[in-house]
Amino acid sequence: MDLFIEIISSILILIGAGFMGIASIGMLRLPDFYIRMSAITKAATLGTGLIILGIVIYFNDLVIAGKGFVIFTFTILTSPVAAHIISRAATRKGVPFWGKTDVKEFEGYLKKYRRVELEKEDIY
Amino acid sequence: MLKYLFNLIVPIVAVYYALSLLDGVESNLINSTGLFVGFYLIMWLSSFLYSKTHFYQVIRIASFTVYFFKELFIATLRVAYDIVTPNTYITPSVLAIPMDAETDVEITLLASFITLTPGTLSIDVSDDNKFLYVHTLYLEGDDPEQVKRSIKEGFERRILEITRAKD
Repeated sequence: MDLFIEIISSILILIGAGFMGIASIGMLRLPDFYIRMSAITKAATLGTGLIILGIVIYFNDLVIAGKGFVIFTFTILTSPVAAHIISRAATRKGVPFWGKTDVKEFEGYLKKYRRVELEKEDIY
Repeated sequence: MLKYLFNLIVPIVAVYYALSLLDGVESNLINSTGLFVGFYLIMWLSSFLYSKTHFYQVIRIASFTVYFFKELFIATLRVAYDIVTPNTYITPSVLAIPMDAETDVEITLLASFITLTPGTLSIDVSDDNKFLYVHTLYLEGDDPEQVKRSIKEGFERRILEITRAKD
């Protein structure tokens, strides 16, 4: 039974670390700021969740399960708010979109709030 | 809201005392999860007698949670596949999605859950609270309407079912 629990928890922790590793490769590979934001915050959330689940299964205890649940809840509550605020600040500050991005429906907003002109540069 | 918290906290306290009072029962994960599920099922089923709203609301919240984790996992795998393989299939676009959500709580919940699904990132809400600007990575079939419809019928419909429950 102990061996079984250890195998399951180590598989979960490895998958979580793998997701976080892929997210950091994506940080280098993906073309622009917004694509990085939308791809990475979530991979990190899921990775954290899987690592915490592995820890909870390894320690096999009620109190640690409660702590893990609280940590995961607060991660899920705070990470979208942070991503939302950072991307909103970036659009207003004038961080350029990738050249292939379709911003047809967004132009009115950009004209109203963006301080810098939209640069259509291909940086991939 | 208080009812849901009460129905969660009472089983937790009950599990804690049951484990400390019963001799010879270990407080490991399987025992405590089983005790918690048992106590919570009793609380939930008895709520059918005094509050039908609570009874159905728990079903809706549970199915929304399952749907959310399914979407999270599928979309994360998709983005991870796109990062690891050399070709990229990303066709990004910023869409203005018309919202049926009206109150602040509904808009906050919708924006947060859209941000938590990989491939979509909510950037801002328009001034009159009618549109949500969403940055998406994948346009299925080069059709923005289809992406809008899938968000409206997936997340928005489920969130509004929970916040506007009447029965």
